[in-house]
Amino acid sequence: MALKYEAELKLRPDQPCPRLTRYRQRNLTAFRYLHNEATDADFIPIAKIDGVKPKDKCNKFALSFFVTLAQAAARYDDLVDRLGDRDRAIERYGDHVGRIELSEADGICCDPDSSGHFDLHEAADVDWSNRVDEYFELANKV
Amino acid sequence: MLPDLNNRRARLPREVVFVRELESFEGPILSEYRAARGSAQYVEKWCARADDVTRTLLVRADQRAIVEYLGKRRTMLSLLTEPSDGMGYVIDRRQTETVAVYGVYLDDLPAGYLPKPTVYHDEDLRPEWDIVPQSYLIDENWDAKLFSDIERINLNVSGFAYFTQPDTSRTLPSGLLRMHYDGGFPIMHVYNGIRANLPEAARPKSAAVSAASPGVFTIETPSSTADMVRRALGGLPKSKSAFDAVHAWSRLRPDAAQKVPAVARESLHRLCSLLNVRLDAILQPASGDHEDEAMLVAGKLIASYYRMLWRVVEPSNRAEFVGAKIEKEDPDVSSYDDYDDFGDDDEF
Repeated sequence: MALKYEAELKLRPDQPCPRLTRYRQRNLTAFRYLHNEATDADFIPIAKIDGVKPKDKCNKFALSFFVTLAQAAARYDDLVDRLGDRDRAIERYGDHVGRIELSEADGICCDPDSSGHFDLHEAADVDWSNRVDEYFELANKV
Repeated sequence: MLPDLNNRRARLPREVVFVRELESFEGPILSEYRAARGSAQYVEKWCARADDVTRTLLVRADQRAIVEYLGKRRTMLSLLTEPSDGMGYVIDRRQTETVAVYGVYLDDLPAGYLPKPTVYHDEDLRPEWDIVPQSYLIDENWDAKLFSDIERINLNVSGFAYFTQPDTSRTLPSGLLRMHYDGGFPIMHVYNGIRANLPEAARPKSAAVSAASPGVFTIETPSSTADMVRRALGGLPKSKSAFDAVHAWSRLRPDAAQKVPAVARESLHRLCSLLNVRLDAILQPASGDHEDEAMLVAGKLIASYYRMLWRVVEPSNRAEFVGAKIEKEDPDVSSYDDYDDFGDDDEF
């Protein structure tokens, strides 16, 4: 499968990038932080926002997803505290979670970690418009 | 638009170079930097983003404070505010280009730039490092032998984990399972062989000593080796009863190998499984009387590994391991010193 950032991935220090023993095509329901309503800007990997340093690895070009809504919400609460406040988290990640049916055509995913988070390296021709099936507002933490 | 700050500077007072990200979620949250010249250390926290500009806070830190944070002994807020004496630099960057630098007192930062006081390090946010630091907090009574002992213990467990890793066909170095044990042979020699044969790419190395009292001693371990050791350490708290079951018969002397009980293999299998060890890497294929001997050797090896892992966690009452959080189930780890290396009990 051709990946969207294939040329850039070849320049990362951790080759092969991505490691195909850890990434594979999948069909699954996944959850991602974004704004309501989501735009292309909600699907830009951090490498395209911050640029890359020589030591930056492959996953800077990946998009983050969670396996469940509860896991996404739990991590968001942590990120709010870690960054400083809710406004910082909204600036960086958005204030909603979107439910998206990922298909094998969307790219390749790694296994989720213990927090339910996993990375997706997008396929070259993926189109995210109208892909969010449902939005969940990330409520203020009490 | 990001709010303007007072005390704009032309540049940072010294050049700093990126070392690694400590925490990241779709981009860095907390990163480590050091001075391009000299040994000064810094940490940088993400603060805000607007109009394609990312704002961060850079503050002085020190090795011990960073180690304490990664070991969950210190909050992020404390890491940022205490070693820095509450001063730092706010840096605005557009992609990798620095567009503004401000000298700041942390008390004067806009709301939401500093983390909540309840935030500790979360290993799930730690990016994959090629080299993983295993650090020890050292009290004021340290000496060179303490560092040497810690390095040797880490080499021992790294080597054992490497040669016995599940899903590989590695074996312990030739001869270690085939020794003639009738004259008594201390387990020290097994670990000597393991250390001598551990490939360079898998070896932990002493990396840094901050000899201030109290200080910190850091061993850097290749990530694949560190992962194996982490899995073994993760099994330690649940392994006490499995260890006791092996220890009950693995103390037998070689000439009493025929007394190895029928349940030995089962107890071996259980302890190996908990410590992420491949049983066939330490159990020599054998038949008849030799089967008991092979079982006894395997029992002594895995029991010694269990004790050695505890010594990674608690090498001395002068050093505190901060590489992983281990719930101490066994109250008397220090007594394991009696069995290590020269202990009669581990003579084959």
